[in-house]
Amino acid sequence: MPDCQFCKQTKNKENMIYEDDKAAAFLDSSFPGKVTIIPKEHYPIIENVPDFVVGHLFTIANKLSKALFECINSTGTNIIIDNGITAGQTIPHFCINIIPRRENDNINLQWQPKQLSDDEMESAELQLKEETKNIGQFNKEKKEPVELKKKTEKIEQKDGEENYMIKQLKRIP
Amino acid sequence: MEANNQMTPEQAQAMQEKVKNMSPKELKEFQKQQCIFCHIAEGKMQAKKVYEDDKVIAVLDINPANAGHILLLPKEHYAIMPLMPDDLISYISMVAKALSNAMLKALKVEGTNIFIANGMSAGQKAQHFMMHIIPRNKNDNLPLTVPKMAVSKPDMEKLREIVTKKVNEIFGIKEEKPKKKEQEKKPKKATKPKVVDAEFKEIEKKDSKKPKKPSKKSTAKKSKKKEEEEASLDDITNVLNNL
Repeated sequence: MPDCQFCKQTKNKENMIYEDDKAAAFLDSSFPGKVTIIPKEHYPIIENVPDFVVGHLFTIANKLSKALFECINSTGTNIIIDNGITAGQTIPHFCINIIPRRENDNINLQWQPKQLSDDEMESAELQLKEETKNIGQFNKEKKEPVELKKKTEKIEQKDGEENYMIKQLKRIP
Repeated sequence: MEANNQMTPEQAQAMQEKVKNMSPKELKEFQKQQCIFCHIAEGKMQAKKVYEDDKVIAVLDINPANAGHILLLPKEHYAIMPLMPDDLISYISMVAKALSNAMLKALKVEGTNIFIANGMSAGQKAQHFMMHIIPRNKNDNLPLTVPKMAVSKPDMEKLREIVTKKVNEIFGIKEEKPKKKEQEKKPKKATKPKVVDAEFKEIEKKDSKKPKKPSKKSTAKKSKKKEEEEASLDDITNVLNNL
């Protein structure tokens, strides 16, 4: 996607801290130490991202979160995914955000728990159970078949003298 | 650990000392016994299960941010995410994706948040790693957006340098700098006459031996100092253990 901010950033490598064939990670200038991890290919939400890429992105997220623990003295990290505009997603390219945390840093990400009736809980449980029945199979990365390079043997032939390899073929038993 | 609150101060002290003397394995076992979520995973405690397989379990949160708020957790006890093995993280994230997908369909919501808190300062309450999957409705005003605090360009450069160094260390990526040095050295060598070159090499060998040894020591000292200055993962898990 030419207009996508993250697609552009993967190309110009601004603030990039990590890159491999599937994923890239940047520092975000909107908050000190905030890291954004994206798949290099353009996928709007997590539902579009192939399973093995999601798995890969999270293992990277874990390692980057370790890095934040160790190098900028954070005592905790929040890993947040905003999936959909109602969830606060601003750029239509799936991303994982890591926010380094310290004691008393005045960031409030804690929600007020809602008091739900037993009926409400039960209906949510039943609705979700209906859809989670099919979970279990995850698509794995299809590895492209390795192309074997054909070795072509060069047969050098001197003038007037027939090559012994060709001679062998011509011999009648 | 609610049980601690019911004990007399003397008992609590004895308990603390007991905890101090435990080996990491015993500690993990001890944490497991105290952990509500381990009880849920083992089926000892009732919960509204939404999904379960041999590695992970998903239940409805009793204190939900919105109706249908799911907690996804590994059955094995891990206090924080960095303690988990890569393949389990990869697996649990795939389940999280599937659950988020199921949530969009089942609850007919327009968005979901996947939220992880690592460490007390990040708002982690239980000592068992978990992923929150929260359905979102328009105008539900959940405080899940990160406040903005703009970082200046020079600060960003510094941060990038520090973080990239650590990231390369963790991923085992060699930095690009030494390559440049090698490139600089090569043309110099080429300009030297052949006979002298051999002598130079000997001198270089001798020279290179001497400075290398102290440099290793100094880096070791530096890294030790760094460890002392910076909070390590062990410290964080210790903080969690002392809850």
